[in-house]
Amino acid sequence: MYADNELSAAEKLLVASFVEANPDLRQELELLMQTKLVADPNIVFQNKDLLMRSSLDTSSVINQSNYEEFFLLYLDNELNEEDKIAVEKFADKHPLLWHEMMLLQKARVEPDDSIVYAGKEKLYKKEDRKIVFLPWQRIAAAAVILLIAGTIVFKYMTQKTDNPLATGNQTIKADSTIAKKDDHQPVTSPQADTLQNRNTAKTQSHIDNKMTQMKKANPVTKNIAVKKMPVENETLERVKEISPVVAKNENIDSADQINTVKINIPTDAAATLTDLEKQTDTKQQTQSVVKLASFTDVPEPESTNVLAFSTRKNKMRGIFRKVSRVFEKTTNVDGDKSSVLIGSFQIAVK
Amino acid sequence: MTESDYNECVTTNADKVYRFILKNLRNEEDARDVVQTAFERLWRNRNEVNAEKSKSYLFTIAYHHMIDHLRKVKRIQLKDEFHAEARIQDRRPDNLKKILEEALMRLNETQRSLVMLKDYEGYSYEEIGEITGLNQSQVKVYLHRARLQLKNYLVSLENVI
Repeated sequence: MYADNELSAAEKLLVASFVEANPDLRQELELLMQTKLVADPNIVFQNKDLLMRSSLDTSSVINQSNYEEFFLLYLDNELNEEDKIAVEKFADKHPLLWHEMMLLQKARVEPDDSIVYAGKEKLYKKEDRKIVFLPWQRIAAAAVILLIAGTIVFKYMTQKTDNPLATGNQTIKADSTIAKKDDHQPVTSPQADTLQNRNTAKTQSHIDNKMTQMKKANPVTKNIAVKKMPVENETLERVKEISPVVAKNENIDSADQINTVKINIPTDAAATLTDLEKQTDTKQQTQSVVKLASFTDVPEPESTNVLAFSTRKNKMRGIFRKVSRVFEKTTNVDGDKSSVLIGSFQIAVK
Repeated sequence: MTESDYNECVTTNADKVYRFILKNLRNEEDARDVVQTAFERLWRNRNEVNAEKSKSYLFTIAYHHMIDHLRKVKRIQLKDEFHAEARIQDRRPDNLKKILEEALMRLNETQRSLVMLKDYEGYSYEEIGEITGLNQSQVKVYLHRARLQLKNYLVSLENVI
């Protein structure tokens, strides 16, 4: 640090006093001092005038010292418009330098178009075609599948409902045709003969007596949808067939209705029906008759799947009935007995 | 980049890349290998490359592969071999062109590549820098030195003649 002149004055005095105290170290200090380099004054920069700037050159970017670089940039098309104009002006002022620019322009190579790559066909590629469904196509396909499945299910369900209804309609139609002859005729054995299955004669007569009593009572109409009836149990079916025949009254509008079958059963008949239930053998019959007789008064026991479905269907029928009433009101359709009302259409009956 | 974009790139740029590599390697078979390798890599990476950038991507791959090849082989090409294998046919005897070809061969591989990318393909300093992995200043300096060398060679020959 002493040799590099990095010590303060006080520190230098300390070094000097230390060296005097240790004469053997003086020689080492002198050797260190001799290693310091001294600049050679003979080495000078030539052509300092190239570094000089004049008032004329300060106005433009290109000058005598950097013209070559600007020429190369000009030839490489790397200058903006302003610099290009400056280079051209400079070259005009210095014809000798313009010649140098021409030489630089000659030192540019041009592509040889005769050199071509033979066998390009080997470089061409072909992609493996993959059938990819776009997202919207997938969604459309899924929607179509759901639609088809829903249609199949709907048709299956309607067919299932139509079968019991067909059976019930057949029996009800048979009963209605018989009822047309005489509304006040009690259920006699000929009518019973039209039924599919029979119980014992004793039970039949008992039922007949009960039905007669029901006729005399004031009917309180209850509209019960009888579209779906269990077909499995024979006794139950017979009871159902009896109830529409016996419980008929003047409120039955038409026996020819196709869409809905209005069966009016008085409350007394409902009670009678419940009595009839007790006479039947199986529990299933009891449950289904109760279900048929009354929908509100008697608490429903556990119903079968079919009756539960019939309940839902009754609700649908109720909705349809409301809609048809709205149509009737708006179209002023008269519900007379000489015509059949199907939905909103009225068909005359001969 | 689609299949059709790639095939169009083959049609448009195969000759250019081949010419560039051949001038550097001065061996036809080696140049073909480099070109095929470059296109193969372009095909493999076609999903990551835009069609507009395919040419510069191709030149980048070819240039680096060429440098690797040169370093591996360290071959010195003779003029006779160059003319016989490459089968270059000049349209007419052009002294200047020949002199320039000779001068070009005197440059190092980096300078030679820079001169050809600039003069053959017209790339800017920035684009050349992206292809060769140099920064813009380096490209400018190396290219200027190369040009001065070519000019001096021309001048020296003129002086001799």
